[in-house]
Amino acid sequence: MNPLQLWLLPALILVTTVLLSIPLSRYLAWIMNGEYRAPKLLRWFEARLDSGPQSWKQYAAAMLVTNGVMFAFGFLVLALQPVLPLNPDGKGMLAPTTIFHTVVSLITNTDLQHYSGDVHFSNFSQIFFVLTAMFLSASVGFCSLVAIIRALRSESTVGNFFVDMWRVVAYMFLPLSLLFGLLFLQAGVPMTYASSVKADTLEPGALGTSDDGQAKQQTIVVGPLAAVIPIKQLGTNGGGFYGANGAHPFENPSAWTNFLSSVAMCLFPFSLVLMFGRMLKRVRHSLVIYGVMMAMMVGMIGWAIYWDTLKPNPGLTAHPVTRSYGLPNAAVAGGRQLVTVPAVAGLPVDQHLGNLESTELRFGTAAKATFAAITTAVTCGAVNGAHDSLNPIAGLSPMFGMWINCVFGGKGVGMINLLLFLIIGVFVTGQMVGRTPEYLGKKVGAREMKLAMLALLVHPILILMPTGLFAATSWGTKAELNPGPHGFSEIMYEFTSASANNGSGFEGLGDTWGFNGNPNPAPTSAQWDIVSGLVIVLSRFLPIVAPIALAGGLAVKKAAPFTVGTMRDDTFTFGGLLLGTILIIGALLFLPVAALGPLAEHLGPIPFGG
Amino acid sequence: MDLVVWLPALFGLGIVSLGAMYAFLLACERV
Repeated sequence: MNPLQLWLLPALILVTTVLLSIPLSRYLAWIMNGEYRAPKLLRWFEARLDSGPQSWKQYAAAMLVTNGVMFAFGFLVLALQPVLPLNPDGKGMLAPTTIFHTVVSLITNTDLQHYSGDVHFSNFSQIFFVLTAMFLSASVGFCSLVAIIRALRSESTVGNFFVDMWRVVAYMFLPLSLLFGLLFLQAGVPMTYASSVKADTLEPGALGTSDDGQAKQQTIVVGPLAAVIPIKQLGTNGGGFYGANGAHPFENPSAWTNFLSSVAMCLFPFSLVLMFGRMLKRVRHSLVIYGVMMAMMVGMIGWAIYWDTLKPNPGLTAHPVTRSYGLPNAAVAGGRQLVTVPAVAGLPVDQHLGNLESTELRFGTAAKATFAAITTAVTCGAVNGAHDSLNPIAGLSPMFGMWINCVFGGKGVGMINLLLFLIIGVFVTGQMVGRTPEYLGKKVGAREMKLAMLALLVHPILILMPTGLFAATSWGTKAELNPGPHGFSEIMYEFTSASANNGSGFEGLGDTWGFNGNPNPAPTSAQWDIVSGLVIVLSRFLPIVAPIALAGGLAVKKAAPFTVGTMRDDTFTFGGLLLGTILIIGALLFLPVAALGPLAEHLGPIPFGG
Repeated sequence: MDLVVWLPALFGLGIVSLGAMYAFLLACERV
């Protein structure tokens, strides 16, 4: 394979986004500092929203109340879907547990789907709830970061949440969504208020015949895709209009739209790091953070491409001997499933293009691996192929991105998570050299460490505990599609994605109830809906509220003058310290589950390893 | 699922879990 073709796509995505993030970060800082002068009508609207400066506590409370209202509204829309307009196909009501999971998933920017948008949502639900939630939820993390920056600037109040949300939506997401919408529209993404179109199949009668002997037509679901897809990507929401998400030819028709989608989801996470530096007037410091994040991002993409695009699918690799394994599977009588492998022993399968399982070649050979790494790094969750189909060890790349949750991360929250690692790194280093730890001249004390550790430990606890519960009980074993380590990875990935507010799926899990009247729902889907939904809520708000409280405390502390003994935060050494803290504290927590899932699968017998 | 039972129960679960986040916010002030 031509290496240029292989690496060109990720290189183009990263270079383009880096170049765009420089002017965009300047614009974001300009807007969030309130230095703009909006047109009269918008100024009037903004004045109505402005309830005055808020303390950190009032700001966080306003954020929570807004989310409460969004939850109530979303719940109402989905519960009333059968009787609301724009529902020509007569779509019914989802099961209540799925409504709960779907609503919390969408209002928290997670978009983990236990439903399929094209099957279960009317256009009314798509436009009035999904689209609205995508804009508003995407601004919550953004606003929270801005509040933290203001506190770090020692301002006595941290702004007004409602005004900030308005600024983010009206001056950033809306204009950019319009621009990307036009580009997607031009590239062939549908935009219509029709719910479906009928089409004659190429082979008449391929779908059977009706009672009057006529060949049945194919029903193709369409809708306002060009309106939804831009904010899905720009807002790192990731929830697909179709169940197949970005692998569907209407949602992501070509290599060009795949490139646009990739750039769109990186744009704000990249820019916010630089905005952080500009608003604090510490651009060199933000460049060090940017460099650390970029090093991890390049590593993730390289790992995924090396193990997935440059290596064959071990399940299709020819082996001279066929063997049988009894693998534990609770769903099978006797508890063990006999698997004879390899299924295609001796067949001359050409795998010079790497693992092609679930790879959409219209995007390019490395596109699936690249997208998988990026979408989990920036906490988007859109996919252009099933992550379940990545080679076992390549799957570590998206898992790592969600475990660390600050490889640029979601808009605002990624940077907030990195600040937590930074506070801990500074504290540990200060203790090691016997100096009082400081960040931006503010002393880091016991209160800051308690809040930082609390916010950081929420993530592994909310992944590891439910994973253990479901892996050890029939709630998980009845839902997994594959036995052994791969099944474990399916369970662990679900909670990782939920806790990281990512939303991508490893697939293969039976976690869908569907419409309430569905006679054959997945047997443990209600348990998945409720537990995963609670993980989403806790992992969304605890790691946002605690850092706002932390920054609020730092705001009232006096800044110490910069001396020769002050640890510099804009050097290569500081970047190394930060990277080391992230890898030691963030990644090592997850080594045991990595060993039980993807590593065991990689080292184990075919077809679940190589 | 019985809608009379499950719909209000899950709506309540969402509101209560968000309410718990508000309680956490108040607790953060005391740390």
